[in-house]
Amino acid sequence: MPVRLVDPVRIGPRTLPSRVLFGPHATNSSADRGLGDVEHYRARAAGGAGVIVTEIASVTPDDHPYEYAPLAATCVDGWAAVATACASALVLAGLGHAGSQSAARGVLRAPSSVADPATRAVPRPLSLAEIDLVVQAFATAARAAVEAGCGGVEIAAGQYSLLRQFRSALSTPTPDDRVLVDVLRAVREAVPEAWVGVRLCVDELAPWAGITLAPSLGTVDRVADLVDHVVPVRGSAMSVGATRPDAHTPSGFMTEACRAVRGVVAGRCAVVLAGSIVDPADAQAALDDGVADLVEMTRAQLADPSLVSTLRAGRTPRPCVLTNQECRVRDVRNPRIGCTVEPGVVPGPIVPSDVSMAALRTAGDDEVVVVGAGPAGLEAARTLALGGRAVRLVERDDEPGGLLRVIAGLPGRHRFARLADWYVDELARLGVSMQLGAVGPDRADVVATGALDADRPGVSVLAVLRGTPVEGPVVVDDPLGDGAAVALAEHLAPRHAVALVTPDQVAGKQLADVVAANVRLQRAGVDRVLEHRVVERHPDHVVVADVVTGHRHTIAGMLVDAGPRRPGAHPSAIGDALAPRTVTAAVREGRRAAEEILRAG
Amino acid sequence: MLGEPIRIGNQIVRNRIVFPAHLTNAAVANRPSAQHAAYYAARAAGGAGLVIVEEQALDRPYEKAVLGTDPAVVPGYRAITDAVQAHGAVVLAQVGHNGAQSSSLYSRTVVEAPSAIPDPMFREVPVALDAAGIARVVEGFATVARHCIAGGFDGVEIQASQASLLRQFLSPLTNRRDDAHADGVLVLREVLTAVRAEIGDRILGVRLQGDEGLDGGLTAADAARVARRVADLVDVVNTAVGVATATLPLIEPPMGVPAGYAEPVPSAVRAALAGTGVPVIGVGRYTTSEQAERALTSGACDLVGVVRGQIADPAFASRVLTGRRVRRCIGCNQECIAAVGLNRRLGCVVNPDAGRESVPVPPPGTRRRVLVVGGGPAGLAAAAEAAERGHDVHLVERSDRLGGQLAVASAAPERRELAFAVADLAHRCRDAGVRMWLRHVSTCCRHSDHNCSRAEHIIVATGARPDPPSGTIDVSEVLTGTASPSGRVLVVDDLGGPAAPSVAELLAQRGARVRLVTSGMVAAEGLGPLLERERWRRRAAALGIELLTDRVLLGDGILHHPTDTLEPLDADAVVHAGPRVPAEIDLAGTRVGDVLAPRDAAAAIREGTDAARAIR
Repeated sequence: MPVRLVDPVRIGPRTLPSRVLFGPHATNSSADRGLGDVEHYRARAAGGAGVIVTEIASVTPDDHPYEYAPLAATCVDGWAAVATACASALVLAGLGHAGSQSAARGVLRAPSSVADPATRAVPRPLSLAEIDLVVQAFATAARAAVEAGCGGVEIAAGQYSLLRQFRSALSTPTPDDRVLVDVLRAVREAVPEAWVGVRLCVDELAPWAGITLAPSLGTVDRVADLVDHVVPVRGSAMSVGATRPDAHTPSGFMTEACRAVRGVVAGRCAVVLAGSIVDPADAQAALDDGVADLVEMTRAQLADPSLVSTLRAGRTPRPCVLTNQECRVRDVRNPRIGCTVEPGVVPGPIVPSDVSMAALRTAGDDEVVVVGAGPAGLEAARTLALGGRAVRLVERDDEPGGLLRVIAGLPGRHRFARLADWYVDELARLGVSMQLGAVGPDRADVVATGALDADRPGVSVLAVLRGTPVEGPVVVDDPLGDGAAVALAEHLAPRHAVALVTPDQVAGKQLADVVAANVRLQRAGVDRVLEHRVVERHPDHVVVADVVTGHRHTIAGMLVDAGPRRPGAHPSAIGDALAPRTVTAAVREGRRAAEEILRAG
Repeated sequence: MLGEPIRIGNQIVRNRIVFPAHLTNAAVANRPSAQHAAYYAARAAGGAGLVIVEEQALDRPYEKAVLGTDPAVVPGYRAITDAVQAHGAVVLAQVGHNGAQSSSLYSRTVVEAPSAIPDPMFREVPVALDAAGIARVVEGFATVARHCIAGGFDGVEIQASQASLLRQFLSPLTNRRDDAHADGVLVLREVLTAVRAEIGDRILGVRLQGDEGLDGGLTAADAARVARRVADLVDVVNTAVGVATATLPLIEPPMGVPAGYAEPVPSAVRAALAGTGVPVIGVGRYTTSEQAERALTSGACDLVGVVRGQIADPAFASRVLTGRRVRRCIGCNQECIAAVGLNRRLGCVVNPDAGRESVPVPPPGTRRRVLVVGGGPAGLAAAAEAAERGHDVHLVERSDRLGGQLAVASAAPERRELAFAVADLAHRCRDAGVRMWLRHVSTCCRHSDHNCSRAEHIIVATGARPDPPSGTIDVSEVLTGTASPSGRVLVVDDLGGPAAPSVAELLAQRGARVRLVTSGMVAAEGLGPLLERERWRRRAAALGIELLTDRVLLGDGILHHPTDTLEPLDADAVVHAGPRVPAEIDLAGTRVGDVLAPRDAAAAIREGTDAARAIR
């Protein structure tokens, strides 16, 4: 019988509603170190997730990896609420200790006194007695989670974990997996009937000292009888971005490691494929290929909370674009988790999700006219149609999608084309009438006509992407650091000498993958002119000045302007027409505008 | 003159010392907290005449903003005002809207400004406010002012200075409107008028920007001009320099910047207001009584704003007015500026209680014989606190000087004021009767009267020692003078803090050809949050220091890791700043500071203090 991603599966005594796992991730939704918003999990369970792992809770109070990190001792009520809300799924409490990878003030505890490469903080080594206490804390927390109603736990031994640090020569001179095995054994004894999973780093991407696959298979062999699932993951404190990378890293990077782990496990426990799997077809292919028993699709379920039920209904889920821009929230500013493409990722007061949208379904029978088929207009049209309204979408271009299609030409942003395609399919399914190549509609209920190019010298980023010829060396003036200039520089680097001028200390300061982006630029040979500003613009060269010292020099090349665009004038417009910003803002305002019309009836 | 009372509006303020508005990140759920009340009350108890509580925001500029438009803030306001007024101080609330100096991160909605010009830091294109939007803003100011008065404030201060929509209206750099509001004073007058209608005869102040530090931006003359045009509406004018999102180091300059650097602004405003009877507040890194007094006697201002000086010593005002020694702010900016910038709660390196005033301090227990081993900041803080709490304290220090790494670091260029922190701790020890034994170690004490075996409580604060890679010189050896590398010197920064940049500068001053290399993406990165980096970069450029990033030492070369390129070492000497190793000793006791885990002076002083308070 074929194994299907969305079908129920029996594993041991349990039947899971699907083979899709919603993995642990920071949400910044919890004050007072509680578990955070139960609705975040409820929506995924309702959408058909098979396994839900809650945000990792620290097992000891001294561990405080980020300000809103949950603490096991204060998660009991939250676990109970999630277990109740997600009764259809297997709910596992994420449990961990971040060791030296912590933002805590005070003293960090770790296997040894090796400084964390990110914060440079020197931890205090745990004594043997203290290690015993940590092991017991995992067991105590597991017992509490199961008593609260969780089906089990998932132990964090991947990114941000003390249990990985004990195994790695990057963080201790005496690496071994004894502490991990002790923890899993203690947890197994504490909750003998419950599900115990482990998220295990099998490759730190630092072969000179870090954890590598071959010895990790030995660890897998030692723990396979103690656990019900293992999720092989990768990355160390030196490569935090590699664990859940953006679209610059092709999906499926854990496939071969997962296959090897499954070979070692030989049926003793389930194996979960992780690693940027966001397309259901990729997940199904991995199952077909025998790579894994379950597939982690965390970001895919942020983008579409109803991923499984959407698939079951024969429709395509809203695609994750893998930018990490809104969902990577381990940031000192404590942003609440969001999603570039799904504004209602945490259903709540700000923006409702598709589900509550349907509840707004109204009987209003006037046709609603949406002008502009970029992300804001597309989202407004879809939401209105879901709400039962007749919608006409009017677009000046011959193709819907607006800037989604244009930016999809940039490296790492190709998935925006998929988003545009998805909207077009959805609008067709929902019967929205699309008027392309149209100018001057008779009326406009929603104006989403986008921004205008700035009236500054130089060619704009969009003009280059739309085909304005580029010859010889290029100087990209990037006062924003929001990623467009970085991507364009990468795009042009293979054929042109490219200088990227930024007032910041790094290129692409506002990017979620700022570290990786700067590495890529340097490898591509892009001249990053950091901490400089363009002060004179000429047809074949610019003059730049150091933002601190004022020292000036000249750079030859054609000027590409990556500065802010101009709003499109209409004060009641949405998206870039109101103020040129991000896809996130455009989609959010499209949803909101539609909601207001539906509420008005 | 500092002690002379002064009338402001309907109140007499008991002296000329102001605790001006500044961010504390103490809000809980965007409302005032018990910590706010305790924090401001401590400065009132310490003698400040006028306390101006941090911005009560109309918008959501940062995570821990107090949202003054929410009526739920009123009980928290009442707790603050009751606590401050109980100590005889007059208390105002600052009210502000950040305009484009804000983001959609928390509001998830568009930011608004006079014109669609993005802020240099936040960089979101704002929506230009239309007439209805401006009316909404004016009404918002009135609403927040109403809440402030309901909460017992003696008045409000309208912010038109560092992070402000109103400043954006006043500045030609951010106001490109072609309607009546092209004149930014118009909206300021509308706001002041609306607020006056809410607050009656209570104090209405305005804080004006006098130097944006930007080409074509506002100057002292602009502040004077605006002050004249609003003098009929206000009771007091406060002044400021710097834009929080563009020229922050102007607002909160680091050590090395002299007091009174901002005096041209209050001077110009005061001259413009001559004859109106409206007093003027001046600010600008005043940390001693002499500096503050001179600002008044020179006629620059009528009242003196002291923020960091009163964070460091809550009793600054009463000590200054009675001629007693204050605990000096050293301008390090580590816990009050950098930490707040990183969204953490305000603290203070030299005052471990700053930011946790609401946490009760346990009463002293039985008098104990206490031995403190180590005379660095952790040991000194432990000894001073223990002795002040009545214990019989001996402190042994192996070297011939107190201060540990803090004293060593004060030898670096522009770091001299670190020595003030050591001196102030040593004064406390002396005043409280700590017996100090220099050139002593704990093992040699059995023949003297601080015999370890007789100590009832031991605090181990032996610090950490350098652990440079072989063939390299530790930065501390350069600072103490035990090593003096010359010629082509490579300074390797594996810490990211001030140590490596400071030593690079010192060596360059002595004529070495210096390259500063870091494995990170940014050279001298740690100086950024301390607001020292711009000044340091200018000096480094003048000295010809070369800055290299993304590189690590590898064998006889330097590896540029993004491109995997090995470059020649090309150096006569390599100086290293890296993690230190705890200097453990074989003695049971409470461990504090670097011996516990090598960190910074803030942790050392906080842990030393806490260890002393834990003695039972």
